[in-house]
Amino acid sequence: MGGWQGQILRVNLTKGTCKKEKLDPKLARAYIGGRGLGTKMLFDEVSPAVDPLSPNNKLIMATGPLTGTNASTGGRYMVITKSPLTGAIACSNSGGYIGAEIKFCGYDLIVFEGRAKSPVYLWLNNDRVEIRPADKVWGKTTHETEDRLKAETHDEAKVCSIGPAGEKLALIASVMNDKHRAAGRSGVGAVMGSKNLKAVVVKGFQSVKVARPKEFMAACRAVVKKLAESPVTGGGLPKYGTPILVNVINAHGFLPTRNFQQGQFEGADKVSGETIADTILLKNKGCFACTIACARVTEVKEGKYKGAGEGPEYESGWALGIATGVSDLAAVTKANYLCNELGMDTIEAGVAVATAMELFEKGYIPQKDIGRPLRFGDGDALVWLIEEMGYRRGFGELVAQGGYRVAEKYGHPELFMGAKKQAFPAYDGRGAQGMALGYATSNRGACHLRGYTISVEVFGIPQKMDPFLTQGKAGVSKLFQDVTAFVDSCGICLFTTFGIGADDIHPMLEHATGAGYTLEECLKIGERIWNMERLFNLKAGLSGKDDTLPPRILKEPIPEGPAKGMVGKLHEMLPEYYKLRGWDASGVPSKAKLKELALG
Amino acid sequence: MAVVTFLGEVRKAAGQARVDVEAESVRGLLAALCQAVSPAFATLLFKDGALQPDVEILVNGRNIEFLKMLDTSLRQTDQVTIFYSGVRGFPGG
Repeated sequence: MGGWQGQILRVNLTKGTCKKEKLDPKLARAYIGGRGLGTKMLFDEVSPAVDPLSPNNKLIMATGPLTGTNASTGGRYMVITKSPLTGAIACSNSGGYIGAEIKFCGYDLIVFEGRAKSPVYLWLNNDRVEIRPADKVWGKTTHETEDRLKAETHDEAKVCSIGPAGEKLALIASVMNDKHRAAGRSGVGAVMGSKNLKAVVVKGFQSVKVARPKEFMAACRAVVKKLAESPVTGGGLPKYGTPILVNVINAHGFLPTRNFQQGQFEGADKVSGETIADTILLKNKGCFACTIACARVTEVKEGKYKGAGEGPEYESGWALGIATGVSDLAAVTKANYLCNELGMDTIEAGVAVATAMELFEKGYIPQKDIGRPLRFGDGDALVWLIEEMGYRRGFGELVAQGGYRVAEKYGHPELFMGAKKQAFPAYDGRGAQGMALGYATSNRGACHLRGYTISVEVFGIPQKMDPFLTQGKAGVSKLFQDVTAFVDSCGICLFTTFGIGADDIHPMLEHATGAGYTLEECLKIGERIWNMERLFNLKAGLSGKDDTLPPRILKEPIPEGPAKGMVGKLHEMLPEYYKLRGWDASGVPSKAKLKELALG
Repeated sequence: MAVVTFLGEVRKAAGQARVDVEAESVRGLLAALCQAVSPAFATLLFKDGALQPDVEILVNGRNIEFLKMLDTSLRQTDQVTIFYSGVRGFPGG
């Protein structure tokens, strides 16, 4: 078989040992790779009851069989662990180049166990492995760390690292790679920090062999053609990137503004894709093997927020700007750069600041606790607080634990906008009912990348459905969740699905691996992965009661704009969703379903 | 007059972000726009007399597909948004 390198690297940081293990081909076939295989390993090796920041938790970096191949966007890798933010399963997905480089060293997965006595980094030099002291880079930003460790190892090495936020166990810490790409969500950076693991540095020279090279290349070429012809992946994404959504979602009236107090932002155009393209955009950029190239290389050329980097993407610009009521693009961009350098999830960071802003404006947080006023729309306060959070200083120490902990500490957990303690992304579920269901049922907490029903509710991919209605949304959510789990396991970018379908991805996977996959089986594997994640969460102590949304979303109507009067009608969708999943009324998978999925 | 907002590539083609248009329906509004903006603008919106499939039109935030399509009537203060689905939805990074 091809695609897989057939090898796992197990790094025990407590003992300081590195062991190469053979990848079980049966397991690889059943779970594909990436999210699926990483979750299976976590499920088998870690008690779901584990303290996420203890040495007993494991941190798994997983690639897919298409990672490091010629498949378009085949550069993805995932970080899988138990989340300290949510207490649920975490799988955070990133692009860039490091995923492919891990494959070039001959590994499909790296499993980190235990905790190093002092800060270390892992140096994968092709087939050689070394755990090295990281004292010189501990305390440094992700950018400084990457530059220093490249100088210490190989100029062309690829690096993923945590910043000060991860070192200080901030629950919203990310793992950054290639400086600007993030395994951002669910606090995976805090788990890395708890292991005293500062970075992974990788340089490989091996190839990724595929089972049927001729057929594989033909399948890849067909996909590249479709992606180029698609108005989204061949036009919109390269030209404007994801921030083009700001004005579109604002026009629909479900752009969450000022901690979801409104559905439209009067300053949206100032932080939109159009304005970014006209002002700070230098060029677009792609990840490994990517033929879409949606990343935004930007520069603020003057003023107090002068600087250069990448972003803001739609989600980052929304969280740091619109959710906080800040329409100063330079301030939002600076906050984005800081999140990347200090190693924090931009969504979680922005929503945490927005939560604190609402609590302050309502008088629930005294100014003396913060040290300064913290009002919606204050760009200076935003940038100041983001830096305080990254270094966990002063009031920032608490806010770096995420919005839920801030709201809970000040006695108003209902003002945290998220699900399973993870912040909502940039769509108000009151205006897009499918997203409400998706947020409530997402295994890793509120997330737009686990079942993106905006495709049908706004853009008609593959067909248009009224965002205000609940009919049919349970079925769409389930289908999208399962397909996404499949795509994430292959090692390609989810953005491809705007130009191609699972029926285009399947030939690439099949010819790469030669494993005899059918399309139907691929979708069944997606469903298996979703149910396994669910089982992990149930064993971790979560239940159907956690499949819910804040009172603001369920009971408080959007006050104005196109979605005026709307609330999240979760009760109309959740029972049908459970039924379609083959789960009982309390959200537990039935024995028959587990048997069908070879999980029971 | 209805307030028309152009997004993305439509904004570029129109050469402006916003324009006020007097019209009683979406059909009338588009006809007025094609005259007011440029003849080339018409080809971006229509092909063989029909609306291009990748043109999205919202009236007060509701897609005209959930209203009465081109026959959707307009009032003085209505907000109309026009964009291409070519720059449509993607999971934001």
